[in-house]
Amino acid sequence: MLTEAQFSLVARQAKRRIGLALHADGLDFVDRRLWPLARREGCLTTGELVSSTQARADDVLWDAIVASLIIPDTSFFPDKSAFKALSDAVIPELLRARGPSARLKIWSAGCASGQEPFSIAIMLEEMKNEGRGVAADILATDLSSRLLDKAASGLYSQFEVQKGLSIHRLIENFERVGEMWRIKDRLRAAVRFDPHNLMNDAPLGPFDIILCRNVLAGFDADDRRAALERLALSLAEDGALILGAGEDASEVTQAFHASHGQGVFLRNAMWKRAA
Amino acid sequence: MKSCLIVDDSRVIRKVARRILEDLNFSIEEAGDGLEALKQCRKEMPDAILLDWQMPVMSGVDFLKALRQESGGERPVVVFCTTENDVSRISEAIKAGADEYIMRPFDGEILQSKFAEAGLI
Repeated sequence: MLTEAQFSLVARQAKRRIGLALHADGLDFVDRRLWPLARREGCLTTGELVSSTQARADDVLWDAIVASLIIPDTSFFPDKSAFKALSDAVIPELLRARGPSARLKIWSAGCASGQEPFSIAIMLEEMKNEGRGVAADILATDLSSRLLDKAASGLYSQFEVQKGLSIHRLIENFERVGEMWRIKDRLRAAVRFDPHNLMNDAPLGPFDIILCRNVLAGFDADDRRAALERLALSLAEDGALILGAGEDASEVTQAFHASHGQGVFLRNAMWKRAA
Repeated sequence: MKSCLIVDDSRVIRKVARRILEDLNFSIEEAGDGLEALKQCRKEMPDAILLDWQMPVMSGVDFLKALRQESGGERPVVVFCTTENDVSRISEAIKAGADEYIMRPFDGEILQSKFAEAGLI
């Protein structure tokens, strides 16, 4: 069990390293989340994990500690309405503006174990099969190297492939490997995975579409505004940002306005000049 | 309220599935094998059928083929729920008229996700 002092230490590191604002009464939560990492590191308690990391000023382990506080989104096609808005409105509009042969750049920011970017790859292939072909590069990033390794392997348990995937999408896009299921090579090759920290790393881009769903929810208002404005700078002027269904970018910054229903935001043309 | 017929020879599985589906606002009927299920469907077609594969008397896939021949038998949404997890078995079930397919073991989240994929919720 962590002491209050150790909890405060973790909270400060989480805020500084990844923008995560922990609740003051979150000690039990942190303790539960850190336990698997403590065990992997050969520590007998979570307190020992935190103390030894602090004593050695171990940057890599601090990153692993704060990364393990994030509860990843592990469903395929998370938030069906956002995917529908992408395929039926956002992408067709971008192609109208850019011409049908344009190559779209898509960024899945906070991709966890890869379900979201692979869902985009599946969606794009389905659009192609419907005669609405669109060329795109998909970049997927996360701050957790553990989750990125898993994502890049394209391997999922039987439990995981039954969350958000219809049986048709499963047998069309995955193959069985022992007890696991692996996404087919052509889809795996369609996504590039890289480490990236939305809080501290230089902005990437520009992208035509950024998905950053339920990632900024743990940030406090100032950090959330700053992160959203960095995302705005990573977005083409007519690009779209997809947030989680309950998230509202226009609440904290002038950079975006809502469009196409829940979770979809477009950049405000005026914002860049004002900034 | 939608109705769901749970067809499984295991009372434990029927009970677990019933509890999850009642929470999702389904009214539940149960059958212990395919033949019993077919008799119940002839009386009244449910909106959904959660269907095991290996059962005594009549298997899930034999029941499904028979059901789809019945008058009104094309209407129920059929979701397999079985330990069979070979791609060839899954394809066989879809060919026989299954709408969705759950590989056991399952939990409430998977059941809910699959019923959503099948358009039941």
